[in-house]
Amino acid sequence: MDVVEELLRVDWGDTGMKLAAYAAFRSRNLYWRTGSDVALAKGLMPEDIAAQAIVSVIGGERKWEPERGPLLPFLKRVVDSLLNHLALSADNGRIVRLAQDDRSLYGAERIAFQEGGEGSWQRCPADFDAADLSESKYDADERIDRLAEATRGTPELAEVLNAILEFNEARPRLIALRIGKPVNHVNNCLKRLRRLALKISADVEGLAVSRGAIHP
Amino acid sequence: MSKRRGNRRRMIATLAELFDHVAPDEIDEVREELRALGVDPSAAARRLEQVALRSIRERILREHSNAARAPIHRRTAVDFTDKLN
Repeated sequence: MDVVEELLRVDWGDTGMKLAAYAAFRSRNLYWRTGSDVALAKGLMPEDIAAQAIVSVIGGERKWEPERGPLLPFLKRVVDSLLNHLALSADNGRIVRLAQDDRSLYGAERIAFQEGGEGSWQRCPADFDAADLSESKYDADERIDRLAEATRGTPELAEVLNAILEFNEARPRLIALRIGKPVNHVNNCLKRLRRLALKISADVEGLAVSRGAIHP
Repeated sequence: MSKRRGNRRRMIATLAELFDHVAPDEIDEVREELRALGVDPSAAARRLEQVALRSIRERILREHSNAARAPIHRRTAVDFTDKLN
């Protein structure tokens, strides 16, 4: 079927919203000179990145072939690419170690959950010195403790978190095997744990109310 | 102490990696993610829908124009001008 016909069948309201949320989600994993998750670089917001991805795919600059897979995952890959380019752009400055005085809503989360040398944040490996026990690492320690504390009233979350901490396992499938639960259950718990981590970070920074609190 | 801290750093990296795999995909999660950023999800949906429809319109016009300029034996049968309304 013709690509244009396929594009005309898409619910662009829903797709756009999902893509904007995805751009927001992914942008939190990157360093922005602005220190904000709303204003990234070049004055762009996650919603603008979603718009750019949509325009480039519909315009044919990025060729989507319906027979090779659905549209939304393709658009998400375009968002990834645009965000990476933006993060590496001159306007964003060089990628540097996460600022320890980052006071943005999710800055604390970035410091707490992305400073490890073995994680997905490896753009500047030389900046991660295992012997460097900076203040932020103590903060990170405390944040894990707070997360563990916060899951105490929710046994299913505590179970998944304990499995992660005990086995240092980064694959949901293997966590599911460890605790004898379906992968979907683990993924749902991970989403709730993430929101809990965001809320803890927001509480620490004292900015939750002004930016919209996130509840597990 | 330093060993425990080293383990904690690995745990932090593991959590970051796991969180990276659970992007919001259901519509309620999507709305929540946007609201957390201070973005009105409905307004974002309307804006992006308009962007998409405008781009589709431009593509249809471009393809129509290209087809009209192409030699007769290479013209495609595609005519989407009726979709413009």
